Amino acid sequence: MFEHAGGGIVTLIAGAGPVVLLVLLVLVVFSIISWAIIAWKFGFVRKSIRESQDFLESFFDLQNADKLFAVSENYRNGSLPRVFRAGYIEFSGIRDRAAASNIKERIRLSVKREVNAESKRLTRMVPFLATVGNTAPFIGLFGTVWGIMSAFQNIGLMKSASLAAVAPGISEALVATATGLVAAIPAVMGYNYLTHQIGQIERDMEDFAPDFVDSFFNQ
Amino acid sequence: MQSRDELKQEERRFYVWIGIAAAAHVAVVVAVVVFQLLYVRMHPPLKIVNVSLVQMPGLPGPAGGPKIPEAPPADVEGEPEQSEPVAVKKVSEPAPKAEKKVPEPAVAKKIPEKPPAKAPVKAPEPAPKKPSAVDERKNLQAALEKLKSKSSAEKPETGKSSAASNLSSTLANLQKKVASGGSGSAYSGSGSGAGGGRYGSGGGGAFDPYAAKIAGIIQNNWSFSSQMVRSAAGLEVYVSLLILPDGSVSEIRYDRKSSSEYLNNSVRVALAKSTPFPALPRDRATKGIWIGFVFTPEGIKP
Repeated sequence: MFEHAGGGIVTLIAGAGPVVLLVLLVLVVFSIISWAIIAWKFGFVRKSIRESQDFLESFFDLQNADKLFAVSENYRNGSLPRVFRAGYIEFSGIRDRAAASNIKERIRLSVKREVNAESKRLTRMVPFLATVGNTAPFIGLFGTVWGIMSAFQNIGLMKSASLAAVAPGISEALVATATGLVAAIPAVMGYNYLTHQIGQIERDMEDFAPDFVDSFFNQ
Repeated sequence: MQSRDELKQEERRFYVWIGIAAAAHVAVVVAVVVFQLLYVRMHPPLKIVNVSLVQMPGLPGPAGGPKIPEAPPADVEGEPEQSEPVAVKKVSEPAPKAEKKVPEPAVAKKIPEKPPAKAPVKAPEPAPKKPSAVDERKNLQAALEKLKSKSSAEKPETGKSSAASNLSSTLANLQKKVASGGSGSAYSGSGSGAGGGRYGSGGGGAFDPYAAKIAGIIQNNWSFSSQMVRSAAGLEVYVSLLILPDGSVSEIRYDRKSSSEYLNNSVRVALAKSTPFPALPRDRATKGIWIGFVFTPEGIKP
């Protein structure tokens, strides 16, 4: 079936040694996880940005914290609504106690905690993309080096240095490098995109956190 | 802060995405394999033909042309008497021309340049019928017989009358020697007969039919294409053979090898294929004789 396609991927993988196969398996798992993270985080970040923008429109329209809180319930995945909700919950718990001191400071701390938690939530699993982007080519290279070592050993056993004896082993070994690059390139691209988007959300949270705190007292 | 339910929900979403990614990878691999299969079907493999450039299916020797197909046995047997006169004619035709040309030194000098271009010599022949291998052998034998009789009468120039294609270079060489006063070439030695000079026929320039016969045999077994060497200039292999009375070769001496290993190997193979040679003539069947040959991309020179 595949005999003719001498350079076919199936033929190459079938002729590879166990170490190269293990490397290929690791790289394929890396690639699957990377793509899952990219897809998952892409939707996550997009939804967060969209809901944050919608909430900000409402925030500028409505000056009442109670109404804003009611609106923020509709944006469960947005980062800014989540930060606002955390501040509001803290504010509503303190304002009942009139003697509570340093109300503003406590709300600020609460908002800051939520910003950190939201940053963690956004960046969760994203460093894995960086890991794949950095290590996958080297893992592939390791497989290639190992495969070429085996190929040269086989060449020595065959007692022939002809192109026909050398080329298949090297070709099989190079599949590992190619797979490493296939895993690494999307991971790096996804990592760059997600870090850029998450960085924007984090800046928005840091910018609007004081405004949220002030909004509780200016209503 | 994130609740546990939210975390679990996110994890569940992540696992769903992992499943989708795994399915996508499988789909990509399947697509690649299918694409390769389709590509192979759309572009069927080219048949590989191994061609040995060294052993071409043509005539041995520098010409390397296509081998003349042997005529079917019926043709050979059907008109043996008709072909023989033609062969005799072919052999005898150039003789008078050669006799005329030999005394003229200018013409004799030009003759050695002719052997590389064998085709033009054959082209003007009146009988375009392709000579079979059997005819060619008969021609050769007839020519040799004639040469023997004429050489015994001390007319070496008549040896050039042979029209056999594989002897043309030999004869041209002989003509050159005759024209140069029989002193022999620089490498031919100054001895008389086969004893003193291995290359060439010796001081008198007498034609040696036995050497010519052996040269023809070696020529037939010599597979060499001048296209395989970069430059034919200066490529010469000087070989001397000690031929015993029974025709076996007791010693092969390479007096000078060429810079082309291909030529050297082809000579070695040709000699290995050609031995043993026919037995020596009775009048020379003593201890054995040394015969020298010069192999060049243009042909064999005795």
